Amino acid sequence: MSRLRRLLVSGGVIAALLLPVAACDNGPSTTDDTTSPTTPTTSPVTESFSTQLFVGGSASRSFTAVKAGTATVTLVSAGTATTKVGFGLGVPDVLGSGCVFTRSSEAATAGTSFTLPVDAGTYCVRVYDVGALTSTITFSVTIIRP
Amino acid sequence: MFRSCLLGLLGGVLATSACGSNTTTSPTVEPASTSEVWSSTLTVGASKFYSFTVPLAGTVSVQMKQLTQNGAATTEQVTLGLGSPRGIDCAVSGSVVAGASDSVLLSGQQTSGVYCIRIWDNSQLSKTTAFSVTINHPKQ
Amino acid sequence: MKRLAVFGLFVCVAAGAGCQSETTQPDYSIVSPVTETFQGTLNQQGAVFYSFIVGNPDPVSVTLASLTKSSGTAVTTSVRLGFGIPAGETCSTTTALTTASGLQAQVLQVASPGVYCVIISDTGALTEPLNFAIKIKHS
Repeated sequence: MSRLRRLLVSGGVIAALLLPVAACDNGPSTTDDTTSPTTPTTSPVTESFSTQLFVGGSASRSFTAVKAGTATVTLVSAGTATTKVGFGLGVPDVLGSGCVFTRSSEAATAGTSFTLPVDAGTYCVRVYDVGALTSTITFSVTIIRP
Repeated sequence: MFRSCLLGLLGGVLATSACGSNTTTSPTVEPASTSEVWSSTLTVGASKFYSFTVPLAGTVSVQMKQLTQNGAATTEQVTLGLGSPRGIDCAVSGSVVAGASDSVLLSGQQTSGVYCIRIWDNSQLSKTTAFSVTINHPKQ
Repeated sequence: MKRLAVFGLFVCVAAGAGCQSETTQPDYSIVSPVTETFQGTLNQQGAVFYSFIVGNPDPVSVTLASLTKSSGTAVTTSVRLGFGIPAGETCSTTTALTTASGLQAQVLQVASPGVYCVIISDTGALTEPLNFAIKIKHS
């Protein structure tokens, strides 16, 4: 094998090794993000979380701040304009109940929002019935994170 | 050229032997020691632990000189363990079930670091028990 | 002949480097940063501490991330948060501050390898027991 050919082969191997890394850099870092249709690739990132909340139930979602900055979570909608639910921002609960709060409200309505400075790390939002629901509702939460 | 080869090889052998002598002939000197006394009470079914710093490698030994109930010595036994603080407890690496004694109950060579003594009732206490544990370890 | 001379020199340097390594370099193993979460309940006038091992001399960050009532609702009550070394029946702090919960580290401390602890205590502000979650990031 000539020297030139060896050089070309080596270059090809290095490029093949580097390509997947470059691909990783382009994409968002969490699996949650891949299902969110509104996730851009620049900071801050906006994610949406919409699902149903059953009577006596709760729903939580974790998200990752890839760097330090400010995180804002907003309850965009929850049933009717006067429907009150529990809503909060916090960190995943290692004991298994979903999300423990840093800031929360037991009487959140559409428009309730929490903004906190955050370090890079994993955080969560949780929406739950405080006992006021009489039927299943649909809610939507927006997460803006670094 | 041949002399330079020999010099290189001789240098290597000398350096290697210097390493060997450092690790094999250094004398073991036990540093001066100090004592800490931990006195407290243990309720039925409970556990407690006490942390201490060993600044230099050496022997750590533990005695439990007193075990009393309502001010009177008891023959009931507790479990004593030596370990390292972990989480909200003391992770014990060795333990002994014992009553009060002047004997060393736990002893071992330890590197410098933070250690702990854990005492707990292994279903043998009938009432709250006062204890006094003495920890001897190297001092700075 | 030239190769033999180079080999002899290599043996010398390698042996010398081995000596230096044994006498001057601490034996740190490579430890990736880990996050431990300390969750529990803080009673009025109470204090609770948690011990952990630092493997590398990197910064340790401590975040009181959650402080909630038993119902789960977050509160902004201030408590004492400290970092130190386990000593006796407590955690002897080298750094401490009074803080509410947040998502940015309240304590950032460079620590050499060893055993350390984080302690949370009531300064008198608690009117009921509170649940807490403290994130400790270290190497």
